[in-house]
Amino acid sequence: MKNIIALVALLLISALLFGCTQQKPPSQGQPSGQPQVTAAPVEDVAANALENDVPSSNENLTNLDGMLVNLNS
Amino acid sequence: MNKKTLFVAFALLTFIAVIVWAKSDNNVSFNLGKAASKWKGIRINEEDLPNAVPTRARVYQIFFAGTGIAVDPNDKLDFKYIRIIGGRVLVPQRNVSEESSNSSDLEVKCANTTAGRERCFTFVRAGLLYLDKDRYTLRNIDFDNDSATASIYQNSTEVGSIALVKVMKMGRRMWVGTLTVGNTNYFAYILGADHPLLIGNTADEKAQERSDEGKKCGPKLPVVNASAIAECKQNGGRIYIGRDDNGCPMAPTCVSANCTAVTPLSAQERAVCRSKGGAVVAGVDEDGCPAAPKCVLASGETG
Repeated sequence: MKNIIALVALLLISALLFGCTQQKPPSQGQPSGQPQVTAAPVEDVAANALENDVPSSNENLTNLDGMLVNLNS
Repeated sequence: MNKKTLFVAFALLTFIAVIVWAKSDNNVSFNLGKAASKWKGIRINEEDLPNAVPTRARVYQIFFAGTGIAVDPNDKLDFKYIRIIGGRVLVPQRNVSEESSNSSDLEVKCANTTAGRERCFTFVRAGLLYLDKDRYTLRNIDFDNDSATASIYQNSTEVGSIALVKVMKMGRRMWVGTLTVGNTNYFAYILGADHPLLIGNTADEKAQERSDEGKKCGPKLPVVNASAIAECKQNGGRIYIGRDDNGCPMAPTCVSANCTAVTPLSAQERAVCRSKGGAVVAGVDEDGCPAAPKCVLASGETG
């Protein structure tokens, strides 16, 4: 019985050790060919192109006004 | 069977289970199968491509736009006025720098011309967010017909994240979700604004509203943090907010399409591309996987 307990304990310990060694190490930068998450100038260019299309506060009030008119009619 | 045999069998099963757990990816890939099958990104139709490449950046599609209120649930008087817009912008290839050629918001769509050549267009998923008077840009944008997620940047520094789901009420499109900026979390309620380039089928949305009437979702606002978005993008994927059988939003997950490795262009190939006035563009495909880099000339043709 003692031998079996020792064998089981050995199996569990080796499994846990194996599991630990299989965990991913902390990221050391971006792998080659992967999309970068860091800031990119082209995204600023694109965001600037959207600047004139950002909804204004006046537009929202007009929308709400329209909804109220529809509700009352 | 005696006790010894059972004990050994149990130990062996435990051993196998631990090995399987260790060999598997410990991220969110376990439950991706179902979610991936439901992912419906907004694709760029080849038929809708312009005849010529643009000379300057211009808006191509609007995913969402609106104004609303962001409220800090811990301090109800701490609220911000939101103005937000997100969409696809068509940019000239000269705007794609070496550093941004692999951006997770960059998409390249190519089509064959009548002359038998390939012409490519570079698109960028982009967004702007105003909280009161503070201006932020959105990056790592993922959008489908029912939800949107993004990282929030200010002065090229990541400062937060946003996750929104579309809700139709009284025939109006609204966006509801969570917003994190700095260390403050907000609930965001945005009344959708109209825009000529806004995508979405109003008839479908109204039908959806009718089918959702009377359903109660409970406190299920989607939350996604910036680090989860960054991790998802690093490995190639899209953030997806699924819906349960009642149409209520579920927790955002990273949907990865088993991206295949792409071969980067050599330094010589890049130099040749630059000497022709071209730019190396790659970006990601519709599933968010890294796309193969190609040299796109000013005319849009590949060189």
